[in-house]
Amino acid sequence: MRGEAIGFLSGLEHPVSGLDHVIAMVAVGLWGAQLGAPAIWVLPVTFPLVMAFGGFLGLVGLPLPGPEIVIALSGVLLGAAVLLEFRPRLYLAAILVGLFGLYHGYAHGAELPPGESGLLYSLGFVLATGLLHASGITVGLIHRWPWGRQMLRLAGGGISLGGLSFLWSAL
Amino acid sequence: MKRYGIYLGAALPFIPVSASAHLVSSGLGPVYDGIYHFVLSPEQFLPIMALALFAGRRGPIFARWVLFVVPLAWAAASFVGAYPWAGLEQLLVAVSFLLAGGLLAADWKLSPPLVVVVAVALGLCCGAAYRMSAEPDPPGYLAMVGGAGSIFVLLALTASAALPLRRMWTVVAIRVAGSWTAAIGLLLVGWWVHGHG
Repeated sequence: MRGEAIGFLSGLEHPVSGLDHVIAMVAVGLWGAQLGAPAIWVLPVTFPLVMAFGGFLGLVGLPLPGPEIVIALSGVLLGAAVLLEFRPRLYLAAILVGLFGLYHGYAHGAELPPGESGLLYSLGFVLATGLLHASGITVGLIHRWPWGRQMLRLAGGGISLGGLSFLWSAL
Repeated sequence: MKRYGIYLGAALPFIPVSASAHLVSSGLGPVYDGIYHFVLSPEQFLPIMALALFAGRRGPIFARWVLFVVPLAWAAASFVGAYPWAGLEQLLVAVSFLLAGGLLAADWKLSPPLVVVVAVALGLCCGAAYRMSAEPDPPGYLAMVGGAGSIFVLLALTASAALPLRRMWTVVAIRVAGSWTAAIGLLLVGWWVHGHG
């Protein structure tokens, strides 16, 4: 029983333990809220699946080039997208977010601690990822007010700067 | 006649006969074992809950079919003896998460016969995984009755709760739940390959 509880809690804790992951997850939510429908609901449905596929690749040990750099880049670019209120076509936004989700999931999958309860760990992991994403969307709803738009853009700038510092460390 | 009935009813509490209603004497303890096992096993109730949401999304005709077909398939798979492919329990659990979560996330508009086929497949997967997890002490038929009854109740409550939901945000929330369920299934496949690599 003890091992199972640790499995769920470690899964819940894993996505929030790395700030580079956290800012990117929140940025996806903020960007989705900025883009509005249908992106605001397409992204939360597709993102966990793409990320889990990345986790699957990490678990089975398939190599992906430069995960740390791409993860840091995701913070820079997603933050910049929020800062500039970049509005690409939906499929382009989905491809960009999907690519970053794949790398984030891959990094988590490759770093999984041994001996955890697979189901409970995965349950906590997916729950934490989804909640991070949802928190970004919820905060992003301030986009409906003029002051909120400015605050969102400011937050995007902060995320981009954070991503730059992670990119610097990764290089 | 009515008066005699009243007299008899009034006299009954004075007859000193043991009710034997407690589990130790009724012998129904294994039924509760089956119920608790199902309720405390997320690998069992999460995919079935996802299927119930999917059935509710598809409408009452689908939901009624699923309500009876899944417990029967689950019970049938649980009743069959030890499986020769024992050890694939985790993979069966992963498949059930992927199947139910994927359908719910995609919100596929399947025809009624296909929904029944999917429901039977999911019931068989969950029942077989339940049977494998119980080795080397297979559960008795009363425990299986408890498990199948719990599945029936969970399906009835969840599908009926999902049936009237038509607002955009509720539909999105249900599909997100499906996406999370399928994502767990995908990770479980990865865990399985990781463990057998």
